[in-house]
Amino acid sequence: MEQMSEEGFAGAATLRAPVLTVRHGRGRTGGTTMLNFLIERARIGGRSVLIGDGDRRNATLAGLYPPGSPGGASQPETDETADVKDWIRTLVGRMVDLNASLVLDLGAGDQALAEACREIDLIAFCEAVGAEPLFIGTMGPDIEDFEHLLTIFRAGFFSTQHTLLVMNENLVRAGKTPLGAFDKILARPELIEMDGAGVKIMRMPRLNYMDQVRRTGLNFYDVAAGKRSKEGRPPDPLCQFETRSWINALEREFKENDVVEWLP
Amino acid sequence: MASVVRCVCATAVADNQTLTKAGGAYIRRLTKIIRTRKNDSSFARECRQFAWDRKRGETLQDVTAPGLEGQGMDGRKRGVGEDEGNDVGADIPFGGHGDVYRWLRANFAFVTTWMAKQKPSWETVAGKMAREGVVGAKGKPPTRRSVWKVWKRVLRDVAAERERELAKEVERAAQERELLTGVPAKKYPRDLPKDWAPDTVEPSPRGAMTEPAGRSLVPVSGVGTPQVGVSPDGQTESGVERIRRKFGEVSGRGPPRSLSEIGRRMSRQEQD
Repeated sequence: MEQMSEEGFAGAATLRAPVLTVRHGRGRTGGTTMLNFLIERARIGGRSVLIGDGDRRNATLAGLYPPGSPGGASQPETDETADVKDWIRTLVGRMVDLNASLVLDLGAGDQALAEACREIDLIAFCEAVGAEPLFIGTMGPDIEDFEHLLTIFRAGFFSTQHTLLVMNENLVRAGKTPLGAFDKILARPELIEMDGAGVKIMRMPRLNYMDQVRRTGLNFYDVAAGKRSKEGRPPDPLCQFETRSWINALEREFKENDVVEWLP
Repeated sequence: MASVVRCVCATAVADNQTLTKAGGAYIRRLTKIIRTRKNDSSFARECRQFAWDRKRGETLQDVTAPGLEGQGMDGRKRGVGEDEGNDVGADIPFGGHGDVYRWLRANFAFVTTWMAKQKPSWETVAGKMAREGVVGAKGKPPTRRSVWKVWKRVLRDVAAERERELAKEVERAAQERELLTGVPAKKYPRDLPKDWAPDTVEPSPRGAMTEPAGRSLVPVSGVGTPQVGVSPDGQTESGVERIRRKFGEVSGRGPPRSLSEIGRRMSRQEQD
């Protein structure tokens, strides 16, 4: 049986600068899954992570990490620009105070958030406080997903050297291959331009047992390790194996793209 | 004498009143007795009996001071920076200390600022306290030396209190941190597994920012320097080429293999 690679718990509790991770992307493009994995990965490595879910319309991250619970997500009071700005300020302040990384899920980027981000120069702030900014854009094979990210890039409110584009294989429809599904996006000159400019492009492998993993209420690493869920049963062996393979595949992607030290 | 003490104590305990007209040393002695014996059940019963008798008019007018409510010597405190009608004894900060101590604690910020800015002599401080009606243990105005001695005690107690508050603050911060970050403070780094191996990935060189990270479509530093990696066959490849190759692999369209390689794979499988 495939063993979890060393990279499975990569990231180590060495002294690292906190990472301000901002995720954008259309809804249901796997952004929350990606952030959830990064949060679990950091916490299992003993690195503190604060969570901010600014996507009030689809607060999946806040669902996984209920606000008020230990390590729970924080949400803005309302969608009003002033509240969102205050919320972001508070969170980045805490990030600095606690020397912890911050994962911000800004979801589909509603107007208030866009305005707030435009007014708060988070990149300059990160440089000032010694934090590393990381932009994660998630997309499926739908060309609209890419267009949406392009719009955000062009708006430029979080333009950083550490930019990671994640192509989610889980969204490839049955009967299509990932290569065929993403072909249109891969052919776009803007993507090639971004690639040339240092943007890292990685794939999020398919995890057929994603729903089952979520139902267990366990994190990916616990599922991979075969821990028992609240119901008292361990996940089935194939689910464990697939989850382990999935974690290892993601770690390989991070390593091949040389982005391990970008991550929280 | 014993019966008088007992009666006085009983009056003070039962009515929660205090004594002012007697001498300071005498009152202090009585107060000490009250404090040490107030949990004594037989003494308490006696107090109740005495209080009952007192209600019937059998009071010790010569030593009790009706109307002065509080504990210990609080009766003297009335009028020190307070309105006449204010019941000082009802909520006494720094109870158990003398007037001088309480005044210095209550006016700690003022005194420290005063000392830092105008550097008054202890005599001046004592004079101000006397003008405000503060009296020493014997009912006399505080002296330069007594104020100085009490001030040292005040400084020590304030420092100790701040230390306690700081410890509480640290504990509260640790709890808040755990609540916010989900990583229990005690788990890091002390409780990490012994075989934990730190990540040894070398940081990749970062390009210098030649203009503010801002509104460009792509980050500035990397423009014109296509990202290249090395494919398994040793060829350099860009990021897009790499992802295309990876997608190809999972799509079953990996690079064509030579017949000899396929043969090697098949023989390996047979051996397994």
